Amino acid sequence: MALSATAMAAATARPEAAPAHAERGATITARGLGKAFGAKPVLRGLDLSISAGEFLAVVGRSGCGKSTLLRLLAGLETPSHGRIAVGDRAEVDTRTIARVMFQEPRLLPWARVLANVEVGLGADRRSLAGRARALEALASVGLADRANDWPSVLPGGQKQRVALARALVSRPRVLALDEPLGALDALTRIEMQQLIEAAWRREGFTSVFVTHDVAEAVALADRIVLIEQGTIALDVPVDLQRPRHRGAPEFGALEERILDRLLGAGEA
Amino acid sequence: MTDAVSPYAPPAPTEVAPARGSPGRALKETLSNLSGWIAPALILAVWQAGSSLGYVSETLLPSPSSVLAAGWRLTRSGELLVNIWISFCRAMAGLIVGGGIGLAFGLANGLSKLSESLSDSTLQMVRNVPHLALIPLVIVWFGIDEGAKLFLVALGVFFPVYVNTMHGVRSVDPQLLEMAESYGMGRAALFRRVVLPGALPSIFVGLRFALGVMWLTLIVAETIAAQSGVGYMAMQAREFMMTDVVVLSILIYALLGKLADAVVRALERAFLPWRPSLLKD
Repeated sequence: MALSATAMAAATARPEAAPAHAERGATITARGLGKAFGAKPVLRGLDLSISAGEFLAVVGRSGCGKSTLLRLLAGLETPSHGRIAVGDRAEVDTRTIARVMFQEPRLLPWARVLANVEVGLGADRRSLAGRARALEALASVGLADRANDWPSVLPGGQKQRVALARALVSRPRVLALDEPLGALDALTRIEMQQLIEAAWRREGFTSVFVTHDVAEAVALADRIVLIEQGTIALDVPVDLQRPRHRGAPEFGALEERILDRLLGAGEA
Repeated sequence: MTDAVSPYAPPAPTEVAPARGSPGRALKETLSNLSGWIAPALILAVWQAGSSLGYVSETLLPSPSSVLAAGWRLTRSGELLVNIWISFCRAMAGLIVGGGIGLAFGLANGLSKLSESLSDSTLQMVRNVPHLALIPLVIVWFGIDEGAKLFLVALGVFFPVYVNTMHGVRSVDPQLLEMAESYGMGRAALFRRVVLPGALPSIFVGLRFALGVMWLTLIVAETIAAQSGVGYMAMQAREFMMTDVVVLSILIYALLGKLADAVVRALERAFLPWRPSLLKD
């Protein structure tokens, strides 16, 4: 399931510099963010600022509230306390500028692959230009030749690539990723990480990537926050050159530092 | 069409591979289709032999050949086709009316809590009355007019369609709904592109159940209260001890049931081409 030549070309088309970042990506500011389900608080007074075009990874143990944070930032849930501002104006509906890649691909089984990508176009779906954009997005994830297939015949990794194309075609200013690679095998994961990183560099949206895999966070993010018991326990920048090499000593040192913090918190 | 399915019971879901591919596969498929007919053909042969050799009384159970002869006789007189047509029209009218109302209630109650709280418990109570128990009352209301048959068939067909439609709407994957909403689909688009296609397999299950109930109701109604139709033809024949026509009528009901089942399968193939069971080769 190697990426096609087009996808690789797209991935390497733009090197380090990403001039679109500042225009496309939206800033996200959360102040005193709290969320409780019933009597059980999940997030407690969390403050977080994400700059435009930044790639933020959110790590933490399962049940720490990281997925809830993502769902709040993406506008899928409303906060119990505090507020979130996405973009320049506070009154912008987050859901119009943020897209979510879920843990599951969540493709419509009764729509062909291309039609599933076109879900991301919204009202532009019916136009010719829209169709061309959907095909282009599908090509950018290396699946142009699967446009007419039903989702059920695709393997898991390809389904997630379709979901990525669906998110990209809507030209999001924020892409929220909720452990989208958790169910994939190791090789497919690395391919998907490269695709996501390439799309982020090319299009310059702000990324919020929730994961339980610290190495994945270090490989992709500009900055990593660690959530513990509903608040931010650690907030570290990742000053590593891209493309990053997992074998590099700085890579390993950072990964270990975050892992130690995670494990230490477990014992406490 | 390999298995013999009673027209009264809902047929088991079957996996139909689309007919395509190599000639070898086509031959294999033809053979496997034919294999289902071996048992019925054997039974017919034994039956015919028993009648011809005089082991089976012709008045109690006429031989296949005399049933065939009766069929030919009635076809030439035109009586058979007229009666089949009348029964068919009654069945369709009842299915459209009852199924249509069932679909409407099923969608409404699946989508709206308010609608459900207003009507569901009432409908569930009515559902527990066997609709054939209403025949004496229906004859008082409608006489043995067309209205009586339409009412009974529609009532019988309503519940399987209603229950399965509501269930289908309810069991649409909430994750897909959340995804579609997060992509800004409005209520109409959500219904058309997510809820309805998601509920469709279940609606088809309801339709299959409904077809079984439809024939059953029609047979009972036509033998008790009718002046035309296949059931009436059978009852008339009984009066004159024409058992060949009685057996013919029973076979026609079986064939009509089988035909209805084949139509639903064709519809499923047309409307649910995405289902993994249909994609398997």
